[in-house]
Amino acid sequence: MCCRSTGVRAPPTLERVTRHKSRRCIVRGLCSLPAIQTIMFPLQRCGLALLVILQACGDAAPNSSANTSATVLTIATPADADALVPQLVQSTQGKQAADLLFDHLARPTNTLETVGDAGFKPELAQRWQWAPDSLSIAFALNPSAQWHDGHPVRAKDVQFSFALYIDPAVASPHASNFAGIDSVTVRDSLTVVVWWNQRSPEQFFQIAFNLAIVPEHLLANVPRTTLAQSEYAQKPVGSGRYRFEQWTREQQLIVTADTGNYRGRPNFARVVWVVTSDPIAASLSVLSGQADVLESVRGDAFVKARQSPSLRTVEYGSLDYAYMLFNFDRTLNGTRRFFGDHAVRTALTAALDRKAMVRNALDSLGAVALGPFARSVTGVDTAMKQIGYDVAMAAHVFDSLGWTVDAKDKLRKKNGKALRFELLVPASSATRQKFGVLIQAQLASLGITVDVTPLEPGLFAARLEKGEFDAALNMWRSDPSPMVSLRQVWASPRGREMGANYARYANAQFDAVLDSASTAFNAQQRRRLYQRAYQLIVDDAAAVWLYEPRNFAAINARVSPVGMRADAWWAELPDWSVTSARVATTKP
Amino acid sequence: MRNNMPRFSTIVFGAIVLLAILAPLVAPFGPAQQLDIVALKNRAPSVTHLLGTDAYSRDLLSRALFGARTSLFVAFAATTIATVVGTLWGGLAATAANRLGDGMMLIVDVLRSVPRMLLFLVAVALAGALSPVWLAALLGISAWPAISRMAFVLVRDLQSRSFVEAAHAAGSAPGRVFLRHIAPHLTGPLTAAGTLLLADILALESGLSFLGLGIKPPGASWGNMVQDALPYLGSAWWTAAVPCACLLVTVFSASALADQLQKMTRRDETPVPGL
Amino acid sequence: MNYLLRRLLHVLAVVAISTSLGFVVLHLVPGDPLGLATEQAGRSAAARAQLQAQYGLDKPLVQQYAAFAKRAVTGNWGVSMVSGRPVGEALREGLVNTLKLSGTGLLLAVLLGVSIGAWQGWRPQSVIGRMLGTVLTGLYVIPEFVVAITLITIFSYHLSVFPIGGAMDPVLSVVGSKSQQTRDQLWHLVLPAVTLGIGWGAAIARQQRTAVLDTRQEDFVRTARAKGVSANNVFFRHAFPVALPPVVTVIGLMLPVLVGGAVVVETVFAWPGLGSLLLKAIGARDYPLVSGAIVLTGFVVASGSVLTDVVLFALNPRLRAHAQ
Repeated sequence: MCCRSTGVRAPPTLERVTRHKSRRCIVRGLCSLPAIQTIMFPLQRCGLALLVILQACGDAAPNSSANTSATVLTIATPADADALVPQLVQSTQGKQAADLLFDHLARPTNTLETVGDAGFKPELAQRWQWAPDSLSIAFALNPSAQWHDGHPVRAKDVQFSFALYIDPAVASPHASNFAGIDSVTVRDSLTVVVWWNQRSPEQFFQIAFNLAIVPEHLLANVPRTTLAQSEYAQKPVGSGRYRFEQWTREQQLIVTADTGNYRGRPNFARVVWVVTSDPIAASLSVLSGQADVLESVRGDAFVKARQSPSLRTVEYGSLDYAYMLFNFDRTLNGTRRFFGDHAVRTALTAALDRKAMVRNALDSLGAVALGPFARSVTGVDTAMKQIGYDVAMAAHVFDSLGWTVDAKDKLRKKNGKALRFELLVPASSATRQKFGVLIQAQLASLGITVDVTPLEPGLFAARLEKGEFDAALNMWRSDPSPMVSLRQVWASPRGREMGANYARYANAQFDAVLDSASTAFNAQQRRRLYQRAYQLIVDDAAAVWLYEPRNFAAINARVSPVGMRADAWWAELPDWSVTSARVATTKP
Repeated sequence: MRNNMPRFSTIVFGAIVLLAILAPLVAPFGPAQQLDIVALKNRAPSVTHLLGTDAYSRDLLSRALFGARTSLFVAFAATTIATVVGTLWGGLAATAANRLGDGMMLIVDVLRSVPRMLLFLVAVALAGALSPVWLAALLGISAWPAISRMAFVLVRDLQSRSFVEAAHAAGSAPGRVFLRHIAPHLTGPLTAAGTLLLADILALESGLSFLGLGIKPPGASWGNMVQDALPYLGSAWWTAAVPCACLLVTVFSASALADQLQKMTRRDETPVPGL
Repeated sequence: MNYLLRRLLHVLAVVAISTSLGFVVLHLVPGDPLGLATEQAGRSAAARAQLQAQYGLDKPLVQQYAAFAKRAVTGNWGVSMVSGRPVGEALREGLVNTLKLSGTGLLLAVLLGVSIGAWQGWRPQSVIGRMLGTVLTGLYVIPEFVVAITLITIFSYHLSVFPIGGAMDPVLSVVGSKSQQTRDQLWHLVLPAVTLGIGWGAAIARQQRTAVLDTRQEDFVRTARAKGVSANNVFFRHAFPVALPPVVTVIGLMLPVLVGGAVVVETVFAWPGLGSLLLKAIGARDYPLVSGAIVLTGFVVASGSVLTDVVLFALNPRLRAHAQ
């Protein structure tokens, strides 16, 4: 051996110890060691094998898989559908599938005009006729409409579907949407008549938007109370342009094109929803080209999608707005109905720099919310009066209410008790968690302590419903009809029916304006009344309006999307097509 | 190089502890102070903000200092608890009768086998959030078995030494024997082990805070600073690099110090000529 | 005490402790956990009454514990309150993923740690050896998530070589071919396994270094060298095997870390293992899942410890003699 330095003084007769310690020798010495040799040998083999594998990985285009046939559209979705039967569906994912599988009498166009029938296009109903007193509409069904099992669609299916929606045994969450409809009758096999108790501006919207038609011949004998567990619910049959193929819970949902459909064959032969609950994995999936559509990209993923040549970031309208809601009934800080005081609410709104918070949390991907509405809703005056950012005013208000700043610990106190409240935030929303931290700091500079508590969405919703919260950051997805949203969220709770009015907010004036709006047939008058309603709520500082997120979907460049409506980006999915050029994908 | 490393690490560690204690005086800004959430979000290091700012425009240098304060407080408290409890248990087990001592050490072995993370997860599941004091207590409780095993071996070994037997033979009370003859020999190894334990507990506490189980925001801890930085690893990597570097330096210097202490105590353990 | 008996008692004690912890989580959490969970799932009063009966919530605590212990040992851990799936099913997936990750990490750690540590121990004075020693100390003490964050920032975010997280591409896992899936999974496995391997490898290397160093001083090595046996042979046939058991012991001691300590790595890399499943379940207040995961972890650690003991027993003739 050329170089070996032994720590133990070995007898000189055993070996010739050379002091030659060149670097080359050290390396040789390293490699000549038996231990290293024996371990390196198999490692070398493994290493070679590994190199071969890595090479193969590098060469193989990640897109050369079974789903690249131009005819499969893969959607990366954050959660699984809860149900597919329209009467039972509540989740967005379920709604996406149900909208493809089932038909409505008519569908909204992009205008989202909910008054009258101008903003609708025929679907199952070829044409319709209003009665002279407008208390009923007769729909003439398309005779070539068929269920996926071959049976023709008939008027009694429509009648049956309506009955299923309002049957208390089914306990459909959408039953209340049909309030005011007296009945649905069958005039002949292809004509169905819907009767109302009284005229309303959104009659047509009510029946067309909410009623999905299910087959009577398959569901007539299914026990209503166990509809969700029935065989039909696992393998639904509809009349839509896609038919059900397969549903592996928590994994994937596949629908295939109904090639003989009366409305024409869709471009994509198959649509697959793959459940990717982890947003990182979802964005990776789209970036690498495995998935074609990711309905919502934010933050880092958005930046990467923008830079990627194989992806398009498509913006579609948003009907969402996020707000900090107060629990009006809560006894807090030694005061009954602490948030019932208008001065407190106004001061809290003025204490928050909403514009800066939106800039920080969303960059340019969001706007400050102006009130209990989304700007996409038709005819909103965005120049309405707001409570401005005025810290001095807020401090003054709190001082005048008796909450003065303690010089020692800089907290606002009244009778020795510090002013504090708990803010609930859903752990699933990164944006709202950010807002929680920002609000906490801004109110802390005023001497108010905010305890931010992130909760799982299920728990969050449960506590809102039970009223076990002080304040919470909630997001509301408006309906295309402003009336429905306003009624659900801000109208006074009637008896025990709270709807979504978690704040337990009650304003008689607002209720009155809403009632007038619900019977206003003149579009302009209606808009004016809505505006008045919005202004009432904003002036009353019923909540702190935080942000409206801009919706961006990341879609593979090979897909041409059309008709992405604000309330349903998937509305015209059957008409999406493949672009002619095949774009090379890049590694994430 | 061999002699410089331990001296260097002692200085570094001492400096970090000192900075942590003096954090309220030294830090240029408050730890939760959001200076300008629009203009100062995720800014790279500059003259005004030596280590940059994070996503909420908080100064990273101040946060790191206050984070050191909290993390080190928790680590020191937990180490003290663990060392005291562990030494008592191990020492008692060693001085007790054979069977009892073995039994006590069996309990210790079993406790060491239970994954520590489980304990914390259960505690969080029960309690929701842990204040720094309770966190320190929990960390200390999870760490004492290791110390007690060491103390047991040491005390057992010392007991068989001739000078201890001589003291017993001379009729001294057991407590006096322990205090006068055994305890002084324990301080060295225990300090070394304690310092190593400190590094370990610091790493554990930052891991817990990273997972959201330790110090709750907006309280600063190196662990939850890394958690805050996760969405920005691609765009503002220094927000993660600062707390990681702090952790690395502190833990490394603490363990180098512990190594050195261990070498020193071994040198002191020259066999004492029997009486 | 008889060696085997001690070890058996040890294993039983671990299982008992983890079962007790699982019971505590399920039944002693303030504010009726099952009640909260049933409300989450929106079940009716009838379903709630059934759950009460099933979990025996009206019986005395001792009886509840006995019933729980029986259920836990037979593997019937109930149903997840959030997803409705049987707990055992969800846990099995998580366990498989964790074992995949930890197993690979441990393999890497053993390969690297044993070789590097042995080399260091055999040549303690060399320059590289001392540098390696410092580096290894650093890697030994560094918290795992620091390594994880560093690797992921450099290799995933900036160099874009490896994926940012997850165990596999979710779309490939349902529509891809077998070979594609394997390739994809291997690619996702690299960074997390390396993270674990680095920390554990450093621990093993330190242990191995000490063991080989000590063995080097032993008389039998001197004798062998004096007899004229070459250095290589001495190392392999005499020093190395004796230095092996302490390493196996260290691996055994690391078993609790194998399951528990991987939580941080699983979180950073979004690896769907047992640790991250447990963490999510706690956040969601899904107590049956939490309790099942705790019991399962105890079982895994106990069985791993049994395995280590068997290996040690086989390796060490002295222990065998002692047992007889």
